[in-house]
Amino acid sequence: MDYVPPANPLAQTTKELMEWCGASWPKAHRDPKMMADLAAAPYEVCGIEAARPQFDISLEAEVLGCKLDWDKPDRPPVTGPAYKDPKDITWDDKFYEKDRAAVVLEAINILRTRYAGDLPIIPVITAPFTVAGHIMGVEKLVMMTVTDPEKAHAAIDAATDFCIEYGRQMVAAGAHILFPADPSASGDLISPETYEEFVLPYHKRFARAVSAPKILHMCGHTEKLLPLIKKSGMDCFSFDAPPAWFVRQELGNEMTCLGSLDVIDLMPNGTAEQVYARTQQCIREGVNVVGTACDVSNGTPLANLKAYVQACKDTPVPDPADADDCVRAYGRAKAKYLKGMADYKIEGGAF
Amino acid sequence: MQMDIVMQQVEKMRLEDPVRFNRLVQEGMAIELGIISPGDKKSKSAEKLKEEFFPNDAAYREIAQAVLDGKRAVVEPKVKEQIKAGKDPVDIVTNALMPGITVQCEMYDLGMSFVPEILMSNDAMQAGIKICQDTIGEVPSKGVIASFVAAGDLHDIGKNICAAILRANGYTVIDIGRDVPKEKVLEIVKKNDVKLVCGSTLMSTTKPGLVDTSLLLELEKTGVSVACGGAAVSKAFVDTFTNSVYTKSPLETVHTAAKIMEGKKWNELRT
Amino acid sequence: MTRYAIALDIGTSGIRGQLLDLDSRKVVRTCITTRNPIPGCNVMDHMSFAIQYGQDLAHQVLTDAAKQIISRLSPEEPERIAVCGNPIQLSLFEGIDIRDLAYAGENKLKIEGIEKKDRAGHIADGEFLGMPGVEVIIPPAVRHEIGADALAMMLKSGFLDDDYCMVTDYGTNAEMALKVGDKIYTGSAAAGPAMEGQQIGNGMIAGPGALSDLERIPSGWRSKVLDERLIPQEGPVLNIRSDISRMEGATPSGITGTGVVALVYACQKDERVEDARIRNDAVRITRGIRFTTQDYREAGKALGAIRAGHLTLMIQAGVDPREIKTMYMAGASGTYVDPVKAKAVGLVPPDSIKVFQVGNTSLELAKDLAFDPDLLKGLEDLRKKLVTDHIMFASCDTFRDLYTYEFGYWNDGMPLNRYRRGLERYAVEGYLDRETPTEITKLYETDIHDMGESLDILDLSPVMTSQWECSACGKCVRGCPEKALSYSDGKFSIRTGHCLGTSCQRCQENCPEHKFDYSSFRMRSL
Repeated sequence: MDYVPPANPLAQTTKELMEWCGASWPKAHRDPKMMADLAAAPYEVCGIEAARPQFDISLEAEVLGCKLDWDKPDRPPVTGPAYKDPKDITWDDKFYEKDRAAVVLEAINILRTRYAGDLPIIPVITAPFTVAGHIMGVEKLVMMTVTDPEKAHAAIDAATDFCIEYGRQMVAAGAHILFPADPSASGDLISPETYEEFVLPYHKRFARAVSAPKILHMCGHTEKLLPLIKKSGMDCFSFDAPPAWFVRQELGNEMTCLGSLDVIDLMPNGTAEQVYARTQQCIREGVNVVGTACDVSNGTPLANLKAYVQACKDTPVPDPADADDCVRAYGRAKAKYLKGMADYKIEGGAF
Repeated sequence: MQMDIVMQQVEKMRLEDPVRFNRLVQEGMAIELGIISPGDKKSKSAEKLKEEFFPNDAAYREIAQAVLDGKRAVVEPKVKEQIKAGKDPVDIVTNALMPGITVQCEMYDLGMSFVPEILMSNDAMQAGIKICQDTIGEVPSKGVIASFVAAGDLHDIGKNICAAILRANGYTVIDIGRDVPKEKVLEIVKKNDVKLVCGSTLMSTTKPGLVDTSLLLELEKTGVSVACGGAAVSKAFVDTFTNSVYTKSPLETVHTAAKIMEGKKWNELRT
Repeated sequence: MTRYAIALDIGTSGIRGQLLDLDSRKVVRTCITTRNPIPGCNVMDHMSFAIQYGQDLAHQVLTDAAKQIISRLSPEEPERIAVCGNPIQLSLFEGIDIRDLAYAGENKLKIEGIEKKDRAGHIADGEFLGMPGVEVIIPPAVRHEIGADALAMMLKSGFLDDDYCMVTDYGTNAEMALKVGDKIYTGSAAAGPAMEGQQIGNGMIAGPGALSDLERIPSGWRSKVLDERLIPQEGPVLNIRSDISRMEGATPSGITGTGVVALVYACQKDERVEDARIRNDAVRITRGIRFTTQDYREAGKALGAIRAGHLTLMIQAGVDPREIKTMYMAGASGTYVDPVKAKAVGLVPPDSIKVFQVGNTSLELAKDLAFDPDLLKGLEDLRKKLVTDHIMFASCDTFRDLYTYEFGYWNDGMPLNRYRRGLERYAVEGYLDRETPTEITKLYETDIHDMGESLDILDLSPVMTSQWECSACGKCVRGCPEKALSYSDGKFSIRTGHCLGTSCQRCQENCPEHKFDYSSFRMRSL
């Protein structure tokens, strides 16, 4: 590849894209064809090289018994926990044949057939710690990690079993890459120590058990967690707040990274030129794929999405097989050394 | 990827071309520090070509750049200046004007520049050449070629591109223009030391003009043949009459011109 | 006894005829041919065929075809016939010398001593059609370069009654006119056969099996394919970004001009074109039918010529393009093409908010004249009043300059930015990028809006023959790209309608014995 692919696996369910394919909430969560059309719309209209079926991270919780608030039909939040005791956590063996899980799998199937494998299908799957937080109550779970660690482990372990089953079904249905999202595990909510004990082992287990490439996503400040993320067995890390160059430095060549266009201000309100420039900056700082920091907001203009795609296409990346580029890279390394990058520390996040 | 393979090339460069090695290291540092941005393909090609073809003399370089930029209004005064300064007009043509069009044609071949650039550079170069010719008369070249568009036809983009590329390759081109009757071509051939005529046409109704011109030149024993091209012209068509050769592209015209200058005749050039 | 008249439109891509009932003033039936019977695929070819091989031969070919159509329309002799078409077709039809129309440059005309003819409206005797005593009504040309068809285009579309508007006949010649107050500027852009689908590898004239449009659906583009009644049906679904096509519905057997516009539009919208090349070389529509990079470039030459022509008219008229908000689209292609797509690819100026699709204006004028021959006088008066400024694009520097950019863009992959910069010189910045909403008024569903009781489609191809002694190696027959040439028992036959004429001549050029003589062919008498 001579350019960085504009393969953004965060949801891009903007107003214009939804109008374009005739999609609406809540039907897009429940109708496989509408979900497929909407997932592929960023590709068809803007040239974004990823289709992302499943638009929310409450689906898993709903399957496991939680109630959702469907008055917010675009991303229905979980209204409350479903379990007090992790021993009770249970789900239907054939959960993937009905309700919303079946819709997602059917949408993946439709996309796989429609594009004959040409368009990468990257569904989101909520990761174990976040799922456990939904079904037990987030604050409850976090408290349990201190007060009753065994119980916390049991809950997260059960969630992991579920995630593995669901993930495997997604791969069987034709997904190319999985996108486990673990927002509750972010550095804004838990400390690196908690992460190491309660999140990392389950990422590892999930990564080993599901045999498709995986992009781990965590919103917020994940600076201090990077050394642990590196050990997760996930193939790529999709990040939000940390600077791209810092993520690259921390991950070295051991893990690829994806990010990070701000979705609070830049994507919805910025100009196309600003998006273009920021995309170029991310590429220069060394991301493997440029993507948005989180799901794109409803009002994000098409022009900005297109600017992001165009910047990916226009910005050349050095070719490791080219001697000239290697020598230039050596020059870049010298300059980095001069800037004292090896000793750079970042303070970010609550912990 | 086998890292040692590329590292071998790096080591080779470091030992055999240390100037280049250091320049690339500096480039990398400058990019990282944000002083320069990694160049795009087009400016990289232009830079490489200029290194290869452009003269070292600063004033000549300016002229070459002005031809490359297609800036006739800059070329003219600068050429006049150089002549006033006592420079040999032949030298100016060969080492200041020509490099500009050569680089432009190379860029065109690479798909980095397009028809508008060729036409503008051609125009700028011609203006410079005219000034030199006014000073000393003939400017020596690889040979004189006359170029025209057949009687009744006004489409001349093809002729102009061909003329530009022939000039870039060192030939003097007399552009007779468009809608040119055969008698006019004969007149130009007789008055000048023309070695080859290039004729083109876009319309099928005006194809006979090429036939008539070729035959007239033969009849009058000028010894000059017509290289025929243009959208309406095909090899099979050109094979149906004498004193002519089919040239599909400007590049083929250049090759044909070279062979003619060596002394080959039109029938020897027919495949 | 019912009294009948015939209206004929002789166009570069075919002849359209209608039988008219003079008493009830109704169209009885329609007969159209799928091609023009003269060898060649555009009017320049027809002209050079006539000049090189005899205007008499061309005249005979054309009149034979007309006679066939007329007898198909009605066994009885009509009371009168009215004809319309471009000046070359009309002159050849009548048997008038066309050499004054043949050359763009004046020098050739001077040398040969050719005088420009005044083609006024007149009534000729039908003897040349084998119908002595029957009146043949021929409408006037506006000026030397602007024929009866252009007059019909301006008159029947509503253009002349409007202001700050343009009209274009989207066909092989793409005649166009701009009206600013009382001044009319005309020009013709030799757009070439790409508009009618004929230089396109799988191109065809609009007929059953033709892919005529693409409709955007979430999973890609649904193609529209014409059925036997020329009504679009659903065909294969194409995903242009991913280069996947799904065969569904009607199977296309070719692509028509409007289909070409739709494909160019879809390829640009879905970023399938880079540097004037279609990614993966071609859009594969169905087995054997594809839209290649070469097709894209041929189409681009036509589209570029039209856009350059429109801009030239406006620049020469000194009017800001933003003031011209109405476009009248005439001709078959103009009726069937999707105006939104046409605007996006440059066929319609970006500032044309109001678009009128007005159908076949030539045939309409012929019909009017057939019903009311007295209209001829009115047309003569009109042409005298019409003060037109004709811009000969081939000799206009502005057009040449603009077309250089168009050619670079469509054929060489010149970046659009380069073109934008070039436009600054003419103070028309933004022309390439402006987008406006489009209000479409389709006057008729089909380009011939009233077909009467039936539509007859004639695959007409008169035959010219010749013979000579040769080894009968068959190279000429095998090498004919249109399969127009055949050989049997020492006799060679060419179906003139299929023959590409002077722009091809591969038969003659391929003959290893140099015996093939194209000029020796004569019409086989009926």
